[in-house]
Order: sequence, then structure tokens, then C-alpha cells
Amino acid sequence: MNWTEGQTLAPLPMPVITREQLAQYADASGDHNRIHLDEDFAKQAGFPSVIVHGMISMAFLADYLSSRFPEMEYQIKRFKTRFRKVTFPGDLLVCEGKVKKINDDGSLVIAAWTQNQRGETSAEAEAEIRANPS
Amino acid sequence: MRENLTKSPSPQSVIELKLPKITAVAVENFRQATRTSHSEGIPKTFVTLYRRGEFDWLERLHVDFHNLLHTDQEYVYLQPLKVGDEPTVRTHIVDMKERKNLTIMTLHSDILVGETVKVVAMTTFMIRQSLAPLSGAAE
Repeated sequence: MNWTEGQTLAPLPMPVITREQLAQYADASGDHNRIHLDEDFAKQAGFPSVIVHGMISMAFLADYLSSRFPEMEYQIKRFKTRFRKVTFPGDLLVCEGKVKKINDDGSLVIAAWTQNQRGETSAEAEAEIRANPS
Repeated sequence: MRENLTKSPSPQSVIELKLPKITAVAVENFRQATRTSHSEGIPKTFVTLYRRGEFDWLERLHVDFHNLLHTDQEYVYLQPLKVGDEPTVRTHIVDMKERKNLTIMTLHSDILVGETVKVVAMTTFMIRQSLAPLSGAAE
């Protein structure tokens, strides 16, 4: 596929994040930080409830990139995410993105982000993606 | 906590941990937990399983997890990981800055199989000195 700088990627709505998912993710990832699992602990930390692991948002963005740049054709070489806003159980995130830059070697710099139902950008990512040799 | 952080061990110290073998079950559990449906191989953020070195650093520095926020994560993929690999992670602190009421700490992890670095991870944490209201960021 021919990409152009500034080209937008079709958005991808993600499933609602549940507390059950946080427990499932904690078990799968080994990140049992109580701020994600223990309501009282999260409140003591100044939050209204438990908060979503930032790495779930990053995983959503990774899957989004895989949906738009299938692994049969492309490889992600570098992937950076900044967690800008706290995400809570019940939040609905939509992944969006665009082609930020096309490097001289043909690799793509993709900007991607998650937007929540409040219209906030909760995570921002940048990825370097290369086409597999044909 | 500030005292603990400023009296931290040498930032050049490296925590090295041998990690469990990558299994198909662990990959599938991760895929389900992250609702991954488009990635066909090992999901790109699966390497978050190898943050044990970061957590060990946080414990060594007596960081109160109430005050901890994960603000940035970067991965550089040098070679693919595969089921059956038995990774080792080496983690060290590359930067620790004091700001008004915050400490910003960046850790570097090499995830190796044998002596080959497969993935490089850079993780930045923001550690609040008090439970001041958040101005925005983070996990």
C-alpha cells in the first residue's frame, strides 16, 4: 500500500475496560500494583477508584497498529507511548492514528492515540514501522 | 521517600533476573487480557511481563506505590521473541530528576535470550512526593 504523510488511519473502538479485565491483566502480566485492583488503596492515592494499567492502553494501541499494518506485511521496530490521562474502569477508548512521516528509507513514523468518551486523549504513541522485504 | 531516592544505590547498578520460559499459555492469557485480536504472533507489549527488574528497583528504593505513576514506555524491537525462549532481563536506572514535588525516574531494560538483546525497554515513572492533586498524567 502507498502511504502519504498526514494520511489518517481508520479509528478502532476498543471494548469497554472492566474491573474483571484489570484482574485478568494483572494475572497475565504480573503487574499486581494495588492501585489497579484495590479500591481503598486507589482512593488513598487520590483517585476516585482503581485506575487502568497504562499498559492496557498501550496494548490497545499495539493491536490497533497491527490491524492497520498487518504483521505479514509490516514490522513494528520502535513503539513509544506516553500515558497522558488516567483511565478508569468503564471507560471506552477509541484508537486513532495517522502517518506522521515517511523516512528516506521508506519506513513510516505513525502517530497513534487513544481517545476516551470524555473527548480526552488518554495516551499518545509513536511507532516506527517498516514494510517486510518482499 | 525523597531521602530514600537520593540515597539510592548507584544508578549504574544492574538488576539481572532470569525469567520464566515464554509459553503458548502465557501468550494466550496475555492476548485475552489485552483483548488483542489483530496481532498474530506474540503481542508487542507482551514484554511487559519482563518488568520484574523495574519493580525490584522500586522496592529497593522503598517507593510508595501510592505515589507512583507510569508515564512513558518505549520498546525497541531488535529481534522477535518466540515461544520457548527463556529471557533474561537486565535493568538499571538511567536517569533520576527531582522536580518541585516529583521525582522522575527512567529505567532501561535489556531483554535478552542467551547473550542476544531482543528488546530494549525504557520506562519512565513519576513519583509524587505527596498526594497532591494530579495535573493530568498517567497510569
